[in-house]
Amino acid sequence: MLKKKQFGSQTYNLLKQAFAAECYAEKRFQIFAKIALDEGLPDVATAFYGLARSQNLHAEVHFDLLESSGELFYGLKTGNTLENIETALSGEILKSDEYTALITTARDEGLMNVVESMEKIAMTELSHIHRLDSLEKEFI
Amino acid sequence: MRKLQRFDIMDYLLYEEKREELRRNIMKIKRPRRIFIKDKLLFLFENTEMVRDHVLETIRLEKLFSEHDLLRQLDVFNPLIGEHGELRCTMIVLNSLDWERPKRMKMWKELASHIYLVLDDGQKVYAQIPEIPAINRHPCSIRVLKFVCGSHYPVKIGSDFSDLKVEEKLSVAQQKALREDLAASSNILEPALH
Repeated sequence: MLKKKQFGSQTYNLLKQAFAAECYAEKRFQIFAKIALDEGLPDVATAFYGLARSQNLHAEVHFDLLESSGELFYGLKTGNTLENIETALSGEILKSDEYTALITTARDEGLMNVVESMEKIAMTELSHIHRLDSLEKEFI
Repeated sequence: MRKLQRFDIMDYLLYEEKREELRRNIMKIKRPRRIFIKDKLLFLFENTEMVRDHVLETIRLEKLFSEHDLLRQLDVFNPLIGEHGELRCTMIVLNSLDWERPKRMKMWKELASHIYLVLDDGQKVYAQIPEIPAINRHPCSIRVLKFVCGSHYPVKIGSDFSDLKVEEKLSVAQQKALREDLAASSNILEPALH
């Protein structure tokens, strides 16, 4: 397990990169699986889904190691379900901020299709905040 | 403007079939209602068609098939539609990533009441926060605002927030679009499903 003093070390930074890479790979395999299904190749799809699950397990290993360094992962806390709902809400709020940066940059670069797409996703974040708020109220 | 009802929301498959045509139309509707104030703020002035688009696109994007989820989207997005004589908009605070988080939070909370419209009779109306508890409890860079305009329409939009003093004249197309929304009837949306 990574110790607190190792936070910020090169190992920690590489683990963060590895975690992001595994998450990306999981998603990529899921997309490949979906394409295989669309092409009528269910066996290949099953194989891709299996690989996606493996990437997910790798990501979980990295996540556990990062958490055990004593720092909150990306500043967001993992705990019991109520705490996780609160974390999820914070995460949605942070994400909405990232979309605003994307909207600004895409607009400056004349990429209005990206602006429109980000607007759309930003609007769905309102739906997520609403959903998580309802969940939180059910618990309290 | 009329609030959305269940019958306004077509099912997933029908939407897939009509999406291209509807998207073309919604882009035209959105264009004059998407108002940037420099690189600081983006306002999406909402009307019934635009809010239906938010609902349909959320359902499509998130593959929400249950009736319960669909009705939830109406609860989430219907408060974005103004009452009679009112305009509502989604305000997106841009460029805030450069700021320290406490300053961002302060801005998200306080900026809203400093946004104003100047109406055609010269009157200045400040934004109010509509009663949307789930959203208002968690301020973020996306806020919903309402402006009570009565029988007048806006010609300028601005902010007198201490860190962001700015005013923009609305274009003729923007004024016309918002004027139309204020005068909107309760007609059924096209394509009608019944």
